[in-house]
Amino acid sequence: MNAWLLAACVLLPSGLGPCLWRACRGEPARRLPAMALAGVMAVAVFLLTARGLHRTSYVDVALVTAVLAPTGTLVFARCLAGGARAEGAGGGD
Amino acid sequence: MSTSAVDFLVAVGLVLVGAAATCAALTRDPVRQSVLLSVLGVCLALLFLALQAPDVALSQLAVGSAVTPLLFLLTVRKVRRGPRAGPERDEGRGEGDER
Amino acid sequence: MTATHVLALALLWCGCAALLLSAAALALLPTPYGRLHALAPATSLGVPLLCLALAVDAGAGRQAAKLLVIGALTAVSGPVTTMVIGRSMAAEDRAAGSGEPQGPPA
Repeated sequence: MNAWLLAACVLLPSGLGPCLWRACRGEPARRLPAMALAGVMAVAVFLLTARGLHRTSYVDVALVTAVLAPTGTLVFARCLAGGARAEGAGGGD
Repeated sequence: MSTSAVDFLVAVGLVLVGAAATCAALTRDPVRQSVLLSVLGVCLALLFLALQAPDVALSQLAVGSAVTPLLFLLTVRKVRRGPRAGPERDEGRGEGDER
Repeated sequence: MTATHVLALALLWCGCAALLLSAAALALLPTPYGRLHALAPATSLGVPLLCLALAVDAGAGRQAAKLLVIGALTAVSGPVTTMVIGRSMAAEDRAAGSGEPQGPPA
């Protein structure tokens, strides 16, 4: 086992476990930090697995994750804020 | 040597996917469920990459962690806001749609 | 065990430490607005350090450029995501009613 795979094995449970736990409780918008951190951890684990298994093509998965996960979180947050505004008393921004 | 590390990654991925799916199934509110569904998509993509299927992980990322939860969220917004868009704002609201 | 190898390993464990700090902060911080700041070490320190370690290990070339692009993308998108999530949380608090003593949207 080389150092890169060891780092991936450390990061996968101890990085994504708290994200999953925090994504299970609270108001919908308060779960969003856990979702964003899960995307960041996924990028790190993808990169470390790519280097550890000597497959350079796996880096593309990390690149797609780095683009898609923040975009998804942004659109999620906008949708949630719009929904909360529509459900409230109709207050301004 | 690296097979033990891959086995460990697969086992952890399976546990994470099981936990995320159980939490998503036990959550009642669809908005909170969609957040959990997105985390589940990321966990599934990690599991697929640990099983050495990067193309499946790519499509799972695109579909499972971005598109499907967003469709859920947009549907929930539309359903919740729909009855209130009319002129009678407060009579049109159902009983079961509040969180 | 050359110098670049040692440098790559040092950068790797520094990045891992930042990511683990971020995960611990997300698990342990008590308030929602405090947990929002748990994203900062991971996005602006952890993943860029990790990408730098992998780029040092890969040497000059297209692969290193791709890794550095991934690190820069994460470092740029982190603060933007934090800002938008904070605004969304504040909007949700306003919609739920201002009587909730959950801390100020700083």
